[in-house]
Amino acid sequence: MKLTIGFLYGRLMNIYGDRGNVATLVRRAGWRGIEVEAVTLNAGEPIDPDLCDIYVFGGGQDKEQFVVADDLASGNGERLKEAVEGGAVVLGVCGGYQLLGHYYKPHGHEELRGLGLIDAYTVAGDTRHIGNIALAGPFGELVGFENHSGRTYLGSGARPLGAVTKGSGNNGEDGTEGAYTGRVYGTYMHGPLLPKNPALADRLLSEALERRHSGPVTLPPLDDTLECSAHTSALSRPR
Amino acid sequence: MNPRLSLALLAGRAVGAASRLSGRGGGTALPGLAARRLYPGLIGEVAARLPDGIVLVSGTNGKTTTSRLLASMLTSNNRRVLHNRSGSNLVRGIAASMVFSTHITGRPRGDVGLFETDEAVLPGLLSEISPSVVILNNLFRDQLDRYGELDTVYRRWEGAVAGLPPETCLVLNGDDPALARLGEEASCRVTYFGLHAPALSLSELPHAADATACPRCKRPLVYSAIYVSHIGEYNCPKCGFTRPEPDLCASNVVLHGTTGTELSLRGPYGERLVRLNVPGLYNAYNALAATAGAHALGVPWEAVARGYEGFTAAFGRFERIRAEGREIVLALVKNPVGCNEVLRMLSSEPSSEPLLIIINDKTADGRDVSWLWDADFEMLGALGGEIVTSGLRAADMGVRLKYAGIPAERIHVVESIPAALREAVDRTPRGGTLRVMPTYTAMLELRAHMGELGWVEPYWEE
Repeated sequence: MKLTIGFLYGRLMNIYGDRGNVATLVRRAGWRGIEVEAVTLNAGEPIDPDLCDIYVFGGGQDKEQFVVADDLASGNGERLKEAVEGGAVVLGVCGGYQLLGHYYKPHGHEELRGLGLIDAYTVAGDTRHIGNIALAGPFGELVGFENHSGRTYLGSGARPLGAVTKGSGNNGEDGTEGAYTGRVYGTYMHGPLLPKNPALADRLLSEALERRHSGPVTLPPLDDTLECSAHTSALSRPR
Repeated sequence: MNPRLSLALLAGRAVGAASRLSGRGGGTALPGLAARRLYPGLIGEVAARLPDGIVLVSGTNGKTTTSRLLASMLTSNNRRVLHNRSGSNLVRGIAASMVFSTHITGRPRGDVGLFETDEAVLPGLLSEISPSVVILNNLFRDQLDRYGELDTVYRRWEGAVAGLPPETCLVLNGDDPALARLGEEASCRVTYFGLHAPALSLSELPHAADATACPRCKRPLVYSAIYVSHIGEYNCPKCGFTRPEPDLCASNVVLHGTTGTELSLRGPYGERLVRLNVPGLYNAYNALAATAGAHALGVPWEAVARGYEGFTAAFGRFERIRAEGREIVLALVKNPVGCNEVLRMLSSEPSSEPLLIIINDKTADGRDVSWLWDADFEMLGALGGEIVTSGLRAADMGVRLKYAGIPAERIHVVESIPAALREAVDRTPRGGTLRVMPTYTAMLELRAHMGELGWVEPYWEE
């Protein structure tokens, strides 16, 4: 068994420790004896839609997001969509999440076109949502830290990752946080997300392995004592 | 005499005395807050009465060490320094230090005000006072939850620097491309310091590096040497933007582990060899910043040299404490870049003695602990010792180490700081050294506890 993890625009979109998501996938695969490799995919280099099984797409400042949106519009966006059609898993966080939707409208700048992989759109707000966040949903209880001014609104084709129990989430209005469609996941949760939510990390790994092995994959359990205590202690912190 | 100023000074002192009596700590900020509320013009008015004016030291990392070293040089030159010493570097901390060192008539008991200034606060402060010297050391990503994006901080600095009067001297680290660009655009006097130590260059830009695009044309910069994060010797092949020739340059840098550094300085004081009592390449930059600042203030070389000799580490900055037959070294960590420098130093000294890492997530630490994943804890993999993690985010730190490749059985999560200190000290052999990496509020808690044990003096008595 072999997995390749792509850190999408890892040099540009890496502002809040989101590379921890890559490290988590790599380690959790490796501890189970799965051969795994992580590659950083940069702007200006054509993506091979068959190379990566999981794409991790982190957050960045507006300035970097413009460069990334340009790169997606000039070919790499289509290649990424082809990869998703082929069964690849995508996790977008913050700025990456916004570009997985239809568009992101920043302040004083025209709309950045997104990939439309998630039925959602984002508009820059006037205040930032900053603080610890927790939610409950189909993937259990998730914890993280949000720091965004974008407000994301989901269409009928996307389902939220859960209902916010602490914090603001997608837009601070409808009580939802994140979104997923098939194997494409988006969220505002840094922290980073996967180290403290190991069950979600394992879900992404199983889905990626299913792509290569066309059948259900059961991952052997790991000792997650440390991860679970980090999850619990994060839950106990105030907003 | 200004009666409102006098009243504000009295009120500030009363608040300070009350806060000490109630045992709520050093009272480094509250008195300033109270005094400024009564008289908002306090800082500007006291500043204008200082014969040598005000020196502001700002930047993400190195403010405390730079200003302490510069204070040591100024004191050696018999100048009385008003200094916000306890690391309380927000405007209210600066106001507080003025409250305690200004006579009720409004006459300051000092010749020069030397204030380390939070990078987010600098622009606002520059609109209240015209300093004689502004020293800017670097700009890294730090506490994004508090300051927003780095670009925002930089743009506010640009605006503030553009308004500096021509008689102000701007002392810049020219090895930081963003600061060199700031210098290009400034209308006041500018002097640059820099490092030339290619043997100590990193082989590649670390993950936590920011701002590697040319600040003039936004294309990628090319580095001939990388010293700390994105700081080094660089040029832009597209538009010709180049690191400015340093007016004060350090070369032949010899690092002595965690104890100190030797530097050869070349610049306005001629060729000079100095020994710095704090370790690490980033402290070489702090030494350059202080020396360039001293020159801008007209301090003669003899006083600068005595300043180096008399300088000791600020609390928590590789401060050494003796307790129970062991040595405890405290190395404050605040953000990925500073943390990487501490890790680089620790991993350069092979040792299987234990490490204690204490991570809090209070406002002064940064509420978001995501930054732990931008720092390269993988460097600790080569050391074989036990690691105790502690603080409000002890478990997060434990997870970070596990995914950095440290075997889980060597990671011990003990949330309570006193219990973690006990465990880490017990794991350190007599005669050995315990290395401690605390965040800011964790360090205050740790020191308070060590004060109770009688190992250190409470910090506000410094």
